[in-house]
Amino acid sequence: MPQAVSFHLNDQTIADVHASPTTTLLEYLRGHLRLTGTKEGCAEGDCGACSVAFLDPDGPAGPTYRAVNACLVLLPMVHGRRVYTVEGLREKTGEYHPVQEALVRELGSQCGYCTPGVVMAMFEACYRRDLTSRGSSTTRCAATCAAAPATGRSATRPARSPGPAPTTGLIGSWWHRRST
Amino acid sequence: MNFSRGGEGRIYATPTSFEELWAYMAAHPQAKLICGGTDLSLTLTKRFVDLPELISVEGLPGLRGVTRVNEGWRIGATTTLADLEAFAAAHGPTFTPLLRMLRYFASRQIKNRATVGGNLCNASPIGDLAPVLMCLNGQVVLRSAGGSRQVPLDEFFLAYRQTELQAGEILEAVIVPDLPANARAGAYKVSKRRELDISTVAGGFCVEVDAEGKVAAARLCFGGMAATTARARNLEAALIGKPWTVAQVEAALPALAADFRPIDDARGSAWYRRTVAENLIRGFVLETRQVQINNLSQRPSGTVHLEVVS
Repeated sequence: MPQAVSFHLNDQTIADVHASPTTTLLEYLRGHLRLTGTKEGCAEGDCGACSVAFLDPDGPAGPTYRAVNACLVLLPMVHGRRVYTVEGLREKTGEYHPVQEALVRELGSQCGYCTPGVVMAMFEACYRRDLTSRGSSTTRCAATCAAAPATGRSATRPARSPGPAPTTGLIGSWWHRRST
Repeated sequence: MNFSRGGEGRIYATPTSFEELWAYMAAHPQAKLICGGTDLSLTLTKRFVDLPELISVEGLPGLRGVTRVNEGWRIGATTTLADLEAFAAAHGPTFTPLLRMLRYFASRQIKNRATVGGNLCNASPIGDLAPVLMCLNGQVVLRSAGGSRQVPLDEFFLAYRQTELQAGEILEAVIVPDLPANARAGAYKVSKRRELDISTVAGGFCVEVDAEGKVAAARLCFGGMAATTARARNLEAALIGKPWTVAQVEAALPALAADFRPIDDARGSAWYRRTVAENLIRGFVLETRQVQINNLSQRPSGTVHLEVVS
């Protein structure tokens, strides 16, 4: 009857996780997997430094990426999901994801601590059709001013609109470039 | 699925049918219900209090999404705020006040996980959906193994963080009727910082104006003014039958003092809250004396948009 959590992290299977069900995804990423790109800022869902993305297969407009605060996500919540962290965005050829390129080009990083969270929020925005509410990050450095236009520019860069499944369309084209 | 690793008596169950849910709830009467966990997780990360028994409603069928029901809409309890915002953008005018509130509700990351049911059942006095859904005459559907019942949202909140939910009962959906053609509606949020902040005072207002221009019905709902989201019943009564004009609202406003005794806290003093509450009503009548609704989702939600009339 008891089962362990399994999920896909940056397209690698993380199976049979033996941890308390109240372990947060952030604790697990940093403490157990030593994936320290995802940062802890406030640990209360305000600052966005811990943002990761997962694929929501049941979105009203089809499968879509969702940036979420890993500090508030408990491990059982990602059971069976595809989760992506900042470590997983680079394509197989070594190229950065367009949102990372845009952030570099626009000088959208200062001390860098919140940057992985900003990248993941931009990653989600990149695949959305409505940009009425973008991912948010509470940062007080000069990079904020640069990151906002970078989101807008990178979001318009890919030409195609999101497709119905993670292996096709815009989401799929990124997925293929980095995994096949 | 039942993840009970990590020690004796620990459970995180994700039932995928209501039969399973009722069985888990009966076997673990102390368990907390969870969905997105955007508030409940703070118990772990900020208060350092353990949550040994959790039952997630995320896997239950038929709870996510907005569907048409007779002369209204059914918003499922596990509909995320991001889903609701996208739906609201395409479904005015009933959803226009919700859209404006959702724009300033929280970060995208929170809205991607936070749910309608969670925001209501959390019963925070500054849960931002409650005043808007209450002013839209929302009814909550409460479901248990024995059946379902509907409760008007303005009777759902009993006291600070206490709701009408009984043991073994979950909030299944909120029913929102279509906004009547003669209704004027709006939503306002005042917080210290415009983005990513908790409300100091939030308002969801709806008045129905009859053919003679007089107020036939009013639902003026405030968050942050009392221990629960609540209607300003005295002010509503003072407005009924009066013309929906700036002068009449100004004459009725002293009644608001009898409705609420707000508290002083870090987000604002009692004086500030009273003053803001009055000013939001003043702004509401200025915005809606000539139009049914203002679609101003991109404007700061604590401000009032006025055409300069010479």
